[in-house]
Amino acid sequence: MTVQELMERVGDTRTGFVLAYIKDGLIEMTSDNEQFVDEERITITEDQRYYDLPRDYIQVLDIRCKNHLNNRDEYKTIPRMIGKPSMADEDEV
Amino acid sequence: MATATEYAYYLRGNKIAIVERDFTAVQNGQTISVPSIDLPVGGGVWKSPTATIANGLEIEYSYIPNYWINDTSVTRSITDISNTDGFLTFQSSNVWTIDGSSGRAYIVVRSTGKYNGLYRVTNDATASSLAITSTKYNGEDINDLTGTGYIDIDVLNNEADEIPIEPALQRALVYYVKARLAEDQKDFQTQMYFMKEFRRLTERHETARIHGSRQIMPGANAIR
Repeated sequence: MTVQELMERVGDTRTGFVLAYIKDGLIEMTSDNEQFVDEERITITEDQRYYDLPRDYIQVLDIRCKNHLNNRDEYKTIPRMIGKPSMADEDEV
Repeated sequence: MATATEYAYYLRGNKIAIVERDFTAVQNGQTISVPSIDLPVGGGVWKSPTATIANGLEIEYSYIPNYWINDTSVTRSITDISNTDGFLTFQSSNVWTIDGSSGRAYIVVRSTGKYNGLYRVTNDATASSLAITSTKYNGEDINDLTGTGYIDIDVLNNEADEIPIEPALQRALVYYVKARLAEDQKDFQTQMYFMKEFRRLTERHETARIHGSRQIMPGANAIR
């Protein structure tokens, strides 16, 4: 279905206006169920604790680390901590 | 052979904090003077990662499908990120061959961590390795990246564009737009009806992808 066909179905001729609502609808759909999924690999840097999330993410589905509880270079899901560790990150990087 | 490690994460604002259990920190045992308690060897403490691991962190996430990559084989290698007059700029190892001076050229960036996503290019990069985007940026230059830039992109921005979702969800999207239009006219009863239909179709689509019955099992510690 094209944008034009959708506009005819809803009976509106304002392209920019309807496009904005279409994009809102896509965000709503993506939040509810995972339609478009991607994976991103980031290098873990020594003594760096904080890492940015990808700019275009809607929902984080899984976080895995290489060699987590294995020595075969496999990526395994890591657990989320309840609370923060008592040892703070000195340089807050 | 790689060494096994133990990681965990927590959230801090819009960032993920990765911590690693460091067993070496208490290998010799720490003694607290009063009362005297010897901590067990190998107890481990959570601290920032103790070693650099190339591509060690993998994040799986969902994103908004407001564009379509026509040809995933047409790519450019992104090596550097810089700041051009306050705008985010991607440098490629070869020429971009796109002209953004008309305001209708887009690229999709992958494998660059937080910079992943859709960008509008504003300069003429037909013979340039620099793609200046319309995104504000005041950070430092980042070098030695191994990112990928897709240039054959169809962005959802005009009437002729195909909405890049499955037909079942396109029907649901029609209900969503109708609901928003009814909301604008303060016709809340109609708005609620269309939103209900929108939810029904999206949920039905979700269910349709799962074969067989769904079962909910009680937890291991549940009362039986």
